Amino acid sequence: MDEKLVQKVTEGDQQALGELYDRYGRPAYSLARRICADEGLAEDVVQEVFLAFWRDPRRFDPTRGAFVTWLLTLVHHKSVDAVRRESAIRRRTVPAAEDGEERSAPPGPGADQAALGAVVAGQVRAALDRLPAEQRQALALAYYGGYTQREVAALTGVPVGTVKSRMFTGVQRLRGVLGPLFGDPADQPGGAR
Amino acid sequence: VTGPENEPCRYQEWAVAWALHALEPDEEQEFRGHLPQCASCRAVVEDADEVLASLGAAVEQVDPPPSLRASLMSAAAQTRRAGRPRRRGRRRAVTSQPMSRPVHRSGDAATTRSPPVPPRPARPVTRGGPAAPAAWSRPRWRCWV
Repeated sequence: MDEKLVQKVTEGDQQALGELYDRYGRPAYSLARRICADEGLAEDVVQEVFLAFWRDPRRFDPTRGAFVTWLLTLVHHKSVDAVRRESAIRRRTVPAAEDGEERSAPPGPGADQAALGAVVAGQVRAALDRLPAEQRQALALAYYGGYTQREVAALTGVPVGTVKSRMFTGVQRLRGVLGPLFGDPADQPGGAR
Repeated sequence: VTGPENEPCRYQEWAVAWALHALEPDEEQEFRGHLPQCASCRAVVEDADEVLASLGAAVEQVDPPPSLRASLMSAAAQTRRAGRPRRRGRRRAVTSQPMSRPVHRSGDAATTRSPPVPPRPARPVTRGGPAAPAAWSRPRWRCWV
């Protein structure tokens, strides 16, 4: 499905762009909003990400992974950029111990995809919960908080080298636990172009 | 620097930090230079991207305002697409760069759209301004491609 829509966008089909937005605008916006903690900023990020894809669909390489992975990665990076640019202000007051209030939030209402997403989200949250607290904290501060490794080190009072290894090990562990979620690269035909 | 796929690279921790967008600017620049040469680090980045995207998908889901879709479609209708100049004869220098490094282009918001995307009318607040400064775009996505 995604492959066909991506292909259509590549061919200049604006309606296909709208369909991709209908599929992924919500998770994209949700992530941007979580990181930016600002709805207006989140809207800017989401629009810019989809427009960037529209402007040049070849930015996405289907041989390297799923479209949603690419999209959310870009949303994350743009959101972090926006936050860093916008404010050393508001968000920097978030307590260092904050490691994911979103994890207690209920899944969004409704539709099939949301329900499926909720199942996956539950698995991800469970995997996060199984991480050692210091790894979870380091990842959450970097991923959701937009802090650099050096900033995480300062916030948590440990050497940068320790932060680096915590992040690395944390991601590796999550990869191990969540591996089945990503076990389908063979389903990505890579033939969207 | 590049070893066999199964040989850890000394940059491998940086690869995860890169995926997290958590390197310092100087480190990021250094790693950007390393990545095209190192299949091992690229594999680490790709694996980490999937894991981290799943973290991104696990946040509380919130519906975007309907105006965002309308705004996006309106902007798309007025956005020149790479390699597909819609209005021949109106090419501008900033958009005529070759497509050989499509992922490496910077200035997404400010330099590659023509004609300019109008401000999103339906949204009352535009924090930070839509015409993002150069820092908006970090020309790093998949830069090894």
